[in-house]
Amino acid sequence: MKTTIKIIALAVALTVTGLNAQEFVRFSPQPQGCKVRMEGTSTIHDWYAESAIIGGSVELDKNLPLDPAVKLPTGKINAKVYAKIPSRSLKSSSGRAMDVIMYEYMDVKQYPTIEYRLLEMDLPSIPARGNPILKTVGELVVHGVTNKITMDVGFERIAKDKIKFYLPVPITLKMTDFKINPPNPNIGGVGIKTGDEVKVTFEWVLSLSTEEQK
Amino acid sequence: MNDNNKNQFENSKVTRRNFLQNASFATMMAMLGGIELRAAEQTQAQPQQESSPTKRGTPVNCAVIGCGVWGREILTTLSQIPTAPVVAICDNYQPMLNRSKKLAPNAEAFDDYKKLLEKKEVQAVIVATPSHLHKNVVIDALKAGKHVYCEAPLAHTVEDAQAIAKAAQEAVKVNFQSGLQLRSDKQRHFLLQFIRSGAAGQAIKARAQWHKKESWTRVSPNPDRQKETNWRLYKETSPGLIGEIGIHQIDEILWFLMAKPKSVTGFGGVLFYKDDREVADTIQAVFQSASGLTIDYEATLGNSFDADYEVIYGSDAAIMVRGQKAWMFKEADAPLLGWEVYAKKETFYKDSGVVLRADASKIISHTEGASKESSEPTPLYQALDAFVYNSDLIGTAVEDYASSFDIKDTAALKKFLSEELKNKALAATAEDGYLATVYALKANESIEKKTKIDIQKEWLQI
Repeated sequence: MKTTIKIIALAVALTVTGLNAQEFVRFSPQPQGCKVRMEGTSTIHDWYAESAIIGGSVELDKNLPLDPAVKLPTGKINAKVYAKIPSRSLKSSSGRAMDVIMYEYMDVKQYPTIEYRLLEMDLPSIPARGNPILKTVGELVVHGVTNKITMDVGFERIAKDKIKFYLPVPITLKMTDFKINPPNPNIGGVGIKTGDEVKVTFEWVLSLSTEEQK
Repeated sequence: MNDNNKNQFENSKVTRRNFLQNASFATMMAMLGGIELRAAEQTQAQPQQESSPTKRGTPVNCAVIGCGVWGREILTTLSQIPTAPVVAICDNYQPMLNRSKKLAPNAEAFDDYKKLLEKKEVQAVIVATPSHLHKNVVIDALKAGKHVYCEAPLAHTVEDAQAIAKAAQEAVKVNFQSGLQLRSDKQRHFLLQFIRSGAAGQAIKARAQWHKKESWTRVSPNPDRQKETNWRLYKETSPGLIGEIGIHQIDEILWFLMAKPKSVTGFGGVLFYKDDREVADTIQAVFQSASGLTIDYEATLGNSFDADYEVIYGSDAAIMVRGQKAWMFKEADAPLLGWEVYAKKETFYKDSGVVLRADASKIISHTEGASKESSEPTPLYQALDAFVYNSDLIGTAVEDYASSFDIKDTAALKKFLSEELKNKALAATAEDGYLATVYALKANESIEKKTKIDIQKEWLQI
């Protein structure tokens, strides 16, 4: 009898653990809450390019407290993150003409999407003030080239059904790391050289998917 | 001639012969004391996206529906826009298609616009059919998900124009532009700011005219096509001179002055061409706004003297617009404007004028400027270029949005597009086209009925 109870208890425990390990809640991006911005330099002026589209989804461990009033546990967070940005949705501060040049250098026809997949997410500590900062490692695919990147990502629980990820401090990426030659167009007889480095920030607001809310 | 003037003429080495050879209306106006108003030249350091269309966007496959004289003018203009490949043309009369094929050799020819709209590769259509045939073509094109450029007037009846404008406003995912081409002209936008800044003082009245000696008849190959070819001449199908021609000039003035007519009184008749036409060859119309401002318009097909122009009369100055050039004639008691201090001044005969152009320090630059004028993009070019540019902008934005968000949420899509399209090219909207059409059609009705018409508020609602 005792053995039977132990086996049942073990089975229940394993089932619960299994469920905990596998169950996620899914969030979808909101059209009005997405913004990615990259800032760069050139021989004539600094520039930036922005997109208001960050597609994809975020799945968080079901046990992660979403209520902003509840303290988050530190340590590794089970999460699946996939983000995608249509390369063509990036609009530069220099106007459409420069957009077209940028798209040519990014080969948008062949590589229409910038993609990101999370590999690891960790919450080392809870700050006394402000939002917690997640240590993340992920794979960024630009121009068909994959690079592993680490980012310190701000995490805000706006409401129980709404979260936000953002970069409080820009990350620096190099175009050449993604086999993109920094554009050097000749516009109006003026040769322009673009700097290799770009500083990237983003804001990504997501809401609990409607399926989850039912 | 005083010494200064003499030196000026000598230094510029202008002979009477080359002066007369190169003289344009611009020069003549300068001699009368007109201050030429021009949009600022772009500096070299600026990117060329505004002036050069070659890299303005990605190509948008275009089709032209209606290949008559104006449709072929559109085809010619599109052939100069690198981002506007014409992939299809449509007309229900084969000879028109044959002529158009020469202008768009790579285009597939259709005699039924519905079949053209089935072609997926057609992204944008320019509707240049007779005005009374616009409605079905435009609405079907919008339903087919095509970007639409609809020539002005939108239609020959207010009801049709309203149906078009409504369909255009509901078609969030595509670009609609009405063919008020002057609204895309950069020179007009320069003038708009200038006039609205109050540089001419208080607007008192405005006047516009269009004079041309031409019968408005098209040669018909056979009696069966006579009415179809000459649709402009018959009341059932024609919005009249004011609807076909005057609409652009009247819209320009109303736009500049932000004026809303409360009534229109028209006159006119067939005074010269004694054929079977029903539509007046000579017309006049007076629009009166709520503030008391009047706008006089007149047009004739019987005489070409003084061609076409628009004048806004202000308490401090009159501003005349002819084509893509404009001048300001100041009153003697007008206050000094700030920019005059920095502008270059010239003396011609008894009057002096200030030229707003970087290279206009001598009379020779007037003559050179006159020859440069012809190379400026026409309003039609600028309007079609804007249409293609905006269609690309909207088309790609919607496609990208749909790849990540729910496209059925129209409110969210509209909000997204309002942000994305902040930098769209200057172009007339469906509402602009609709209001201009209503005013022009009511003026035409007034001319036909020989009575004053009060503009009803409900006519202005889409």
